[in-house]
Order: sequence, then C-alpha cells, then structure tokens
Amino acid sequence: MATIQLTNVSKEFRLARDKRVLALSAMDLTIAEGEFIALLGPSGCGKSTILHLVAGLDEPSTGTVLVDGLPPKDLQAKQQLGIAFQEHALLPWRTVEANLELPFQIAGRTPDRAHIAGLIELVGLKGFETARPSQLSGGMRQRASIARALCLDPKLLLLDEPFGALDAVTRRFMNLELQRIWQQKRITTILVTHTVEEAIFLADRVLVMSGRPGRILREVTVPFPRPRTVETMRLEAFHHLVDNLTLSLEPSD
Amino acid sequence: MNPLRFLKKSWAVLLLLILWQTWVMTTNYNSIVVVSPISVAKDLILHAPVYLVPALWTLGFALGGLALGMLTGLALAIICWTSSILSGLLQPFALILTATPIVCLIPLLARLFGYQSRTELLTVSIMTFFPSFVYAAVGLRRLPRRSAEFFATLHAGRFKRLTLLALPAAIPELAVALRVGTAYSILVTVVAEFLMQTGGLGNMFAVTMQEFNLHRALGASLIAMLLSTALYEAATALEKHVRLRFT
Amino acid sequence: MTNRLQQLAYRLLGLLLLLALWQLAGKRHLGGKTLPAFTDVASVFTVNFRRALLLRSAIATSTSAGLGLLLGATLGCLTALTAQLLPALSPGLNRLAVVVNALPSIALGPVLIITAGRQATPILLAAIPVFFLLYVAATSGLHSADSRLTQLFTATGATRFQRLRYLDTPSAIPALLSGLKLGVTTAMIGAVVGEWFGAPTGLGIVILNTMQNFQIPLMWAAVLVVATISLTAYGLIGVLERSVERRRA
Repeated sequence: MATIQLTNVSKEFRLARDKRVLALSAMDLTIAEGEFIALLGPSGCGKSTILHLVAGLDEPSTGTVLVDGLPPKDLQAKQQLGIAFQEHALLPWRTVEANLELPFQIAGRTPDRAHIAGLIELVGLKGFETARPSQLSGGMRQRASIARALCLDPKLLLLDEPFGALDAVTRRFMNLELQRIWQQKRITTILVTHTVEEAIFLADRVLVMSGRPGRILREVTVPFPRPRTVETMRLEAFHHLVDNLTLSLEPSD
Repeated sequence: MNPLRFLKKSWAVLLLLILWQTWVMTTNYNSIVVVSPISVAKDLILHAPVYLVPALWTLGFALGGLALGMLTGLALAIICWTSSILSGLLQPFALILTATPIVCLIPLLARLFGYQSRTELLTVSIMTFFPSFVYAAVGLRRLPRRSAEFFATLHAGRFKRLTLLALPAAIPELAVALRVGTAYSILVTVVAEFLMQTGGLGNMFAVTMQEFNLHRALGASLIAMLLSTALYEAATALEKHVRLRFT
Repeated sequence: MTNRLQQLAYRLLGLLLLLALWQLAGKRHLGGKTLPAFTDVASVFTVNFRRALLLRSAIATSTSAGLGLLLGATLGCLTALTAQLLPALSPGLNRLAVVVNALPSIALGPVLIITAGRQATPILLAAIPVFFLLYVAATSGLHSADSRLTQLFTATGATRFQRLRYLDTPSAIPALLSGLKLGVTTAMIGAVVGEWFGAPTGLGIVILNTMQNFQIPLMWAAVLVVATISLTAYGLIGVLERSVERRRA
C-alpha cells in the first residue's frame, strides 16, 4: 500500500496566449496507507486535476507530489497504479477477459488467468468473460473497468467519477459493490465524485473542494463503521452529514 | 437469390441497360461504333474463355497494387504517428500526391519505369496509397476515450501503445480506406493496361478496338465493371462488419 | 500556437526537401532523360509561346473539369436527395452509383467522342467520378444529423420535406465539402483522360503530344500545371471547409 504526500501543489493551465486559469492553489494533502479518500466538489473545481497529478498524467506547476516518497512516474513504471474513469476506457474490440489481460500485456508479463478469473468473479461479471463492452450495460462496463484497474495488484487505486454516467439506482448498487471489493483489497484509494452520498458512503475521509482556484474547503472524517450497508444510508446521522456537506458545496454568493 | 431483393437492388442498373438497348435500336449509328447490350452479352456467353485470362490478370494486378498501396500508406502513417517532425516533413509529399492526378502521370511513369507490368502495379499502388495514408493517420489517433491516459498510467512504451492501442483502433478507418481504394483499383489498372498494353482487360480492349471488334471490347469493359462493382460491394460489406466488431 | 508554427515550418521544409530531391535526381540523371531537373522544367515557363500554350490548355482543361465538377456534383446531390425522400429507391440508386463509377473511361471515351462530341467528352468523363463521390458524401451527410434531433423533428410533426430542409441538408454540408475536395482531383483526371480521346485543346493533349515528340520538360511542365490547378482548388475548398467547421463548432 502507499502513502501520498502533496506539498504546496498548484496547477495552472494555459488556455490561450495570455489567458491562464489556476486550477489548484497551494494544496497540502496527506493520505495514509490503506485510506479511502473522496474528493468532493462541483465540476471544474480541480478534483480531477489532483487525480491526474497523483497518477503522473500531469506535472504540478509548483510544489511536489510524492507517492511513498517517490514521484508518481516511478509508480507508473512499476505498474503499481490502478485507474478507472467515468468513460470506462475499455478497448471496444476486446472481450472482458481480453481487456483484463491488457495490463499484463502492457507490463510485458504473461496474463495470470486464475487471477483474472478471480477478479471477474469478484466484480460479479462471471459468465460475461467473452462479451465485448458494446454488449454490456453501463454498470457492467464500470465493473470491468474497476476489475482491470485491480489486475496488477496496484498499491494505489484512482477512481475518476467511475459511476458518474450511471442512473441513481445502479449507482447506489455499484457503491455497495465497490465497498465490498475494496474491503477485500484495502488499497489506498482516491475517489473523485460530485455525489455527496457516494463520498460519505465509501470514504474514510471526505475532502470538500471549491472551484477556481481549487482549494480544500472542509475535511470530514466519516464516523460510520465498516462494513456500511443500506441501513447505514438510512441512518439519521448519515442524512445529517449529507445535508451538511451539500450545504457547504453550495455557492456562497 | 431472392428475385425481389435482386430487383430492389438492381432496378436502376437494369433500367440503364434497357435505355441503352432502346437507344441503340432507335438510332441508326453504325454497329461498328455503337453496339447493343444484348449483342455484348451474346459475345460474353459464347466466348467466355477468351475473357478469363485477361480478367484474372487485371484482378491480380488490381489486388496486388491495392495491397502494396495500403501497406505503404499504413507504414507511412505509422512513421508519422511516431514523430511530429517526420509527419510535418512528409505532409507536402502526401498532399502533392493526392492532388496530382496520378492517372495523368501514367505516361510519365511508363517512361520512368518501363512499359512493363511493374509500372502497372506501381500506378495502382500510388493511387491507393493515399486513401490508406490519410485514413490510417486519422484512425491511429481516434482512440477510445481516456484509453491513452489509461496506457500512460501503466507506463506503456511507444511500441505497446502502437500495437495494443493505436493499430487496432485504426482498423475501422483502414476498412474505409480499403473501400475507397477498391473503387479505384480496377479502373486504374485497366487504364494503365490500356496505355501500356501490358496485358489484362485494358490491353484486350485496346487490341480489340483496333480490330473494330467492338463487341469484345465492350465485353472486356463490362467484365472490368463487374469486377470493380463486386470488389467495391465486398469491401463495403467488410467495412460494415469491421465497424460492428471494433466499435 | 508555437506548435502550429512549428508544423508549418516542418511542412515548408518538407516542400523544399521535395524540390531539392527532384533537382538532385534530375541533375544526376537518375531517371534517365525522362526526369529532368526542376530548374529545367521551370525554365519552360520562361519561354513565351510555351507559356501561352500552357495557359490556353490550362484554361480549356480547367473549364472542362469545372463544368464536370458542377454537373457531377449536381447530379450526385439530386440523386442523394431522391434516395433520402424515397428510401425504397435507395438500394437501387446505391448500386447504380457504384456501377456508373465502375464504367471504364477507356470504354466510355470512344463512345462519347462519337455520340456527345469532342468538346463534351472531357466534361462528361470528369462528371462521372464526381457524381459517385458526391452521391456517397451526400447520402452519408444526410444521415449524419444527430438521431435525437431527427426524433425531435419527427415528434414535433415535421414533414419529410421540412426535415430535409431544416435538418438533413444543413447537417450534410461538411460531408459535401469534403466530398467536393476529393472530387476536384478526380474531375481533373476525368478531364485529362477525356482529352486523350481527341479533344481539340487541353493539358491532356499537351501531355500526349509531348510524350510522343519526346519534349520531356514540356510534358513535366504540363503535369505540374495539372497538379497546381487541383492543389489550388483543393486548398480553396479546404479553407471553406475549415471556416464552416469553425462556424459550427
């Protein structure tokens, strides 16, 4: 498992010749080993930018990002990074099984068939091994995408609004499923989401962000013990926390 | 074959043939310059074996040139994919090659490379090279959403990105290029054969025209049309299949 | 911005490289007498009567190609509109377009010379491939409207004509322009090949005559003119295409 350390990180994007936008400003963040963090905020608040910086897909303008004391590129090189996007990013010409073999092929290892079969079972896609993404429902594609992120036993799992395109019912069900999967692996995880319930239900710690420039407004440690269930979501305290965080997301002006 | 389906697909072509037949019957052009479709069909049926070798020759060169052109186009697109400098340097070559009417260059190519069948092959491959290059270049960059980032997080090297991601992603576009290329391949082969008299249906056309054997000349062009249409429809079917499989 | 400038610089460099390679190949006689150096070809344009010949021929050929382009594009679009309004006819029209495109120009040329005349043959041979290209472009363009918009039109009770006028035709314009761009080259080919069958003037005639008389630099000059004309038209339509794209983005 991995610990993550962001120190004084800011990120500026250049739009045009002399138009710049500050996506993140002076961000400090420490994530402990085996912790599940949710980054919650409106779209455009820089939460995906943090994810990209931690994944090594982007370089910070100032400050440092360290994963286990090393730059994220090192984690990439060791193939210890698992990532899943809202756009499932599965290869449409490959079956579910072949999509799970992909990380092994990229890493230059022989696909571990037993491991893949186990993951397919874990995410509940047994019987769909030979289906192609176009033949699966949105929820099933996300299951496959998460299974693919777990293929190489990553030390760090990054989830960029994985259920953002799903309907509310499927989404809630997928939240339960993701918790079940995560409890078996206990990998350090960063989840980016704009749904308050999802953040509270899944995370150990929720960071509420504001946009332009992106800053952390609040930090909430979720008090509910694991495993959390449908009953947890019905608790008065759960609703209270949801309302509370929803309020702080609302624009102040 | 279902006759109704055949009629649905071919009514316009049949109409064209009927118009041709009535036109020949109602005008009084000399039969040396204008022949009816029925008399061409008669020659085709009665002397079918005469057409066989030239048809196979033309088909062979058309397909060979097509394969060569497609592969060259793909290879060049891959080279451009790996380097933006090479991509920029090669752009003018590719653009000039598209805008230049290659068929008009056949006389020049024949002079440069000889009045031989290799020039025929070269002409067809230059003609089909371009669609392959353009579509492959687009296809190699038309990746499934976020898949490039996914590959980056696993530190995929250039070779892995090419073989596991870009090349399979380019297959639907390559199928389009194949369809566009097949539309030209037979026609260009026939024109090249006609000009260089190397063999095949174009050569047959040239020779029989000189003998005023118009039935046979038109029979040869009819075969060329049939080959061209069949290839195009096969390529269209393949493209549909590929699109379903790869998207 | 700097990236685009860099690309432009690479392209210019590529063009210079192409000319340099040509010059070198010509001076070293790599292609025998058939491949003169670029400067030898360019010097053809400095001779007055040669320049006049090329200009006259270029006007004739581009007129034929232009008329052919117009004719083929009109017929292609009309046929595509027919197929769109009467879907039952469309499989037959699809096949007709493919078959018409497959008509070998060498077979059609002699027949057209006799029946349509020496002036019209280049125009007609230019029109045929353009017809096919524009038919294909227009049919796929007319189908390119977002299916949700199509549903919206159907749901609001629009007639087939209204949908064609306000939705399908405007959505087809980008596809039509890229079809037209490809059509320029094929129209030039059609016109030049058409001239080979006995047109009175034109670049095709110049190419044929110079080849027979072994006036190689003049032949290359004629080919260069053909390429320049189609490249210019290609570029102009490309500019139009980009401005349409920008307006729609």
